[in-house]
Amino acid sequence: MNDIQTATLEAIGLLLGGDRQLWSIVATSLSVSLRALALATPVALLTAFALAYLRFPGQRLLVTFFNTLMAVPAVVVGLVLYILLSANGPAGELRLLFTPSAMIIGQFLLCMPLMVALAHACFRAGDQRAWEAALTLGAQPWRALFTVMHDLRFGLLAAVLAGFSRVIAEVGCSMMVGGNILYHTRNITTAIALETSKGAFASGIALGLVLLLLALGLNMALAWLQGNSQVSA
Amino acid sequence: MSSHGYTALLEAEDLRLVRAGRQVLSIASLRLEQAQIVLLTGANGAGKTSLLKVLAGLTRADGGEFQCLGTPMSRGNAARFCRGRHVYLHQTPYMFDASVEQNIAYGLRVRGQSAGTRLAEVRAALAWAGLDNLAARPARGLSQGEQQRVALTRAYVLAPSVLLLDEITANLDGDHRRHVHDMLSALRERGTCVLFATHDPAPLLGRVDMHLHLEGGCLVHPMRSSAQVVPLRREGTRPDHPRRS
Repeated sequence: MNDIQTATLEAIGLLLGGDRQLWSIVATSLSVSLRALALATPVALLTAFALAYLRFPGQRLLVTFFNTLMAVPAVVVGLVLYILLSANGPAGELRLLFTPSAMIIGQFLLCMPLMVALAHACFRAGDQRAWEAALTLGAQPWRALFTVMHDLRFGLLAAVLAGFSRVIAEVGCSMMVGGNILYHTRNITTAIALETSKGAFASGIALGLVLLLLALGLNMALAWLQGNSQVSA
Repeated sequence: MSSHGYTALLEAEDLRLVRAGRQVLSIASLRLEQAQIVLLTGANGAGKTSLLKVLAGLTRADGGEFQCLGTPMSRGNAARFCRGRHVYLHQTPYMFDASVEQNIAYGLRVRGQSAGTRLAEVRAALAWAGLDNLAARPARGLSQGEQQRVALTRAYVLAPSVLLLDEITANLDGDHRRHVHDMLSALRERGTCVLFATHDPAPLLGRVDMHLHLEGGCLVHPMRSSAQVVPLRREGTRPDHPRRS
């Protein structure tokens, strides 16, 4: 018990003391995950909308496909991407292995299917009359799409936050295609794994605290937004 | 131009709609003119909603010849032409997650109208519908009768050439129903063609210009509803549409 207490106090000291190494790790995590999320969000929302509103052959199969991908372990995505990006792999020429870009691609692949599945459920549960009402009042299809998304914004935001939680917390893919290189590709989760194996619990706990605070902040923001909408409705 | 000397808003010949291998609509001929109230009756599943959605341009027909304002158009172009000019109202209206005023302004906003003119037109429409006191309220918090009036006003402000109403008074009580019927008469005065689908035509009969009846997706010969027809003041009737941007 004492060990944990000492390590936690030391961790808080590291965080407040502005430890350069620690904060560079946090910055890498945020920059990689936010960029992956920024790329995946429009793709996922458009795909989910098409799956919910358009009728085309293979639609159900695609929904099942995304629902399945939602549960794929991060290490499996890491493995496949590693094979593709390694020097002898089909995309080896790009020299992306062990770069933040490789991590972004991996995290994109991890969060996109999850966001498609959740956003699809949200579009399906939403009122399909919204789309017709917007069109019949003269909105162009893209404008009607924004109207539908605006009216479903809380469900869709929850889908995006779930995507963010998935990528900010994954270890396997970042470790395999990022390589855990300090000041380059070392992010919060790969650093925790490393620090723990070295017995440096204070740094591990400090980084764990950052993750927890991030999760808490995001969920409080979502709850606050939803609470506000209920008051105004 | 028609034999009566009026350009039809929409003429459709041999209109067909197929869903899941079943013929949902098969209509030999249909013609909509300005300043009419057209009653559309038919049993459940006769194709009333499908017809209204085709005429609104929300569903593309699987076959047929279309003329909009006298110009022949392909099915796709006719659908695009109709969207925004022909406004469809659901049985229970969909209210955007916004205030009454913002709901009514929606159609003007997506047309890129400036905030100033928009506000003036929305205010005028609110006054017309007697909704002034609800302007700032969240539309989803209103009663169904009030929502239906907001939906009608949201259409009115666009000066649609055709208004397609899908049993919109089915769930309303007497007062709201009368109010909606009065709004429809006012719309006809402005030159709008109001196509009204209903189970219960009785309260409307005094105001109807034409009666269409659907059976199994086919239009039973369109008849002028003889005794009940209110003579239309065709001569000198100039539809008084506000400018559309």
